[in-house]
Amino acid sequence: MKKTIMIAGAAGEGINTSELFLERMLKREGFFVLSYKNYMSRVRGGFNYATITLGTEMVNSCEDRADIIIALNQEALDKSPMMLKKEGFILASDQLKTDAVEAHKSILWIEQEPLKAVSSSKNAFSMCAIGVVLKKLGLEQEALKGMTLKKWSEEVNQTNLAAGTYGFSLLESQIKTEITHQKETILVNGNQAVALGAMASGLGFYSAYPMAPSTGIITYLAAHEREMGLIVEQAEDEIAAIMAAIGAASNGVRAMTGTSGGGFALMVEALGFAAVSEVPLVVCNVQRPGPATGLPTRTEQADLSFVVTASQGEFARIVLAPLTVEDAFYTTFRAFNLAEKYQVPVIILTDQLLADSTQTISKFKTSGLKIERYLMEEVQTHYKRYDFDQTFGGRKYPGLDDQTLVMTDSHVHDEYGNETEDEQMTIKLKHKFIRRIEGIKNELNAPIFYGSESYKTLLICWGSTFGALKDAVNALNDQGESVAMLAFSDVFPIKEDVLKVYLKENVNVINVEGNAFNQFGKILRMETGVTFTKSINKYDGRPFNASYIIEAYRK
Amino acid sequence: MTKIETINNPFVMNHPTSWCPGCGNFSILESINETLNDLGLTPQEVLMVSGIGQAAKLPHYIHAHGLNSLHGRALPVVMGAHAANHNLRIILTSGDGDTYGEGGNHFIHGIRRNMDIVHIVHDNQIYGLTKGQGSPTTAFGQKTRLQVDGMRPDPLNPVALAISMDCSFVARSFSGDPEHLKSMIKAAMAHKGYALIDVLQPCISFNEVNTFKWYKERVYKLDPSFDATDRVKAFEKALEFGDEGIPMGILYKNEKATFIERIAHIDEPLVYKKRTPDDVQKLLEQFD
Repeated sequence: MKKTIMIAGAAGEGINTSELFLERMLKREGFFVLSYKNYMSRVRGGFNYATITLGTEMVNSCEDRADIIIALNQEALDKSPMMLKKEGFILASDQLKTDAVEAHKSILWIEQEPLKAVSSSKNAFSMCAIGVVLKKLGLEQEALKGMTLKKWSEEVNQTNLAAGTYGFSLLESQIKTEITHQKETILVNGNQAVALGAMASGLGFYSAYPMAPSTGIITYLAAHEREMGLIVEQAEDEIAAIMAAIGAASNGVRAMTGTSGGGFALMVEALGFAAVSEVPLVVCNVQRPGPATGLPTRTEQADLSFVVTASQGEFARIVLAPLTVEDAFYTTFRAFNLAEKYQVPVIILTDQLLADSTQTISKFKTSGLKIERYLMEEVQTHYKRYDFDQTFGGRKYPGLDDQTLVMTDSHVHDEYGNETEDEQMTIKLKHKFIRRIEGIKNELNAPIFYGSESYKTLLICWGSTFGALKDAVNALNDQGESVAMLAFSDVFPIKEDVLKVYLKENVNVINVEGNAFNQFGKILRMETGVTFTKSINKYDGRPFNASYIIEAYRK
Repeated sequence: MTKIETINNPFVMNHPTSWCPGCGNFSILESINETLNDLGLTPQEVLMVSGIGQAAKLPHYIHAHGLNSLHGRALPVVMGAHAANHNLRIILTSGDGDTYGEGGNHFIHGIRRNMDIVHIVHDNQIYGLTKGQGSPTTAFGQKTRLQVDGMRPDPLNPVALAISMDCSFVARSFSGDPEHLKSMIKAAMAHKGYALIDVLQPCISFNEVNTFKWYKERVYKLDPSFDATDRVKAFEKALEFGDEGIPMGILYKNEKATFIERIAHIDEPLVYKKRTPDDVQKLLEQFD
């Protein structure tokens, strides 16, 4: 069972509240949900929608068509038929009824007169529609209790509830769904998962400049700053944000900054500073389509080529692209250990799809996680902060003991951190970076294999494309195809033999990624020599879904 | 500074420098070394931070913790360092180009944050390391190696700007008067909050106008009766620069809550806080 509910309208018409109520109530009733926000870069108006895909087991990807659409205004109503499944229906206010749309038999008109009689809520229609949806999905009236917000007055909550109850009474028919109540699940979005992973890893300092779609990270951290004993600082720009994170990290605190592509572009010089000064730094780039301002609230996987080469000169770095909301937690946790072990910048590459996807997932397990810091405990009278023989570990910071002095430097330097222009030291510094890259390659996770063991086609993806591709692989194999997929979360650096065991004679390899230039495909080709039969790309600012991939596969 | 003091001062490094002989930087370095020693601090208690430039090489020449960052970015890097460990005494030393040019935005917002640090700007009114271009404090019309017909923009007045923003401590000194400079550094170290000292210094290689003699003939010490808490008077004094004289001393002082004091839940430095992955369990309960 998989159903999708869409709430469409203008910014400010209550889409977010309706989405929040629905996903919360559905989750409490035991459904798995995955909701995604499709919104414009504006505060009021425009055409926005949220989709909530629910199922009785984990939902991997959003559907592009809905079973039920709640149309909040005329434009939403006009666009709804195109986004509706064949057997689906639309909920709209009868005040939008015109001769042109009346004929559409899939519209269920909600009469405003009787609704107004039971509820004075300004959101009466959307609350009523929620009631209809709950009834349709076979939920008990009890579930409506989830339609309240603590921040609202009792009166507002009551009028909303009245509208919801009225909606619940409108339909007779119900879908009966057998639900196994899921224990230990949480409903969380990608930005929150990153923030939680960072805090689990001992984050102490976070600085950022607001930028969609990354702002959710700092918002969540700031809300828990006091409780978790953090310092969360809104910087004057992204350069200050990353430099402050480096300042904190170089003084022994796990620190991070987060931004989107445009902000990351401003951070580039500092990225190289973190690398040469060997400061463990974690940067999250929540991708949105570029170049420049691009599409501020949309999604794309088009910053990969940029982040793997960003900053002048040559140095070691790690790029990790979480596959799912759940993975965003564990990958972010891991990012800090890797950064501190190799004393390199680690870039976490998510995107608006992950950031704005709220998903029911297993509660994060922290019992098996260990913060590993790779510090040098012994006092050093002449501390070699930049010991050329060291590949990882051996780090000290000011105040770790009361005798060692630490010099952190942005130049080519000697082992003590004194700037130098010596040829041999310049070479030794390079060799250290090269050794680190080799160490990192052996440490990073192999891609996840999924699908038919006797595959004739191998589809390769990275990052958030995982969910849609997994659903596509399932569907294709159900349809008699023989396909498998490889999903990379650890996207850079890439080991030369990473594909060796998967490439076979007579197996087609297809590259699937959310950009037009096949950025990861090119990295894979460069490092492994793989050739792709074809590629499936999406670059319209909207996320992949399974049906899009299946259609492209069959072309 | 006598030889004996050098031997007994743990901050003195005697590292060969890449400064021009006769540069004002030497006097600033010695003044910092002596002040830190006079205050009874140990090198382990002090973090010297800089951006990039000739002045910014200073952390390499002091025996203390050092952080030589990027051009213009010393203040934000200090923000993180200070947030991580506010027990460290942070002194930021950088040039006028670094602080007021490349780092102009950070300078403004650094004042707003009021971190408890000392910021010494080596203000020689010219770019040294890049060899003689105009800086934000170079006078209008002054000819340089790059601005051959003279500077076209008006100069920035850093102390007036700082006072206009209610910066908690604003002082001016001169590298040619080490006793005065030391007294300013000492006062800045004693001050709780962001303390800016704009130190005028000649650039013997590239600034042919603002020479040692030029400054010497113009600088004068503020009258002991000067009320540094009067912001309007302070601003008026800050505007004095040039042939009518250049006032030296603490121009403005307004002690107020510092960066760390404004974060109510921070008491012990962040770096000493023990954290475990289980810390997030209480947050996860909110996602049920």
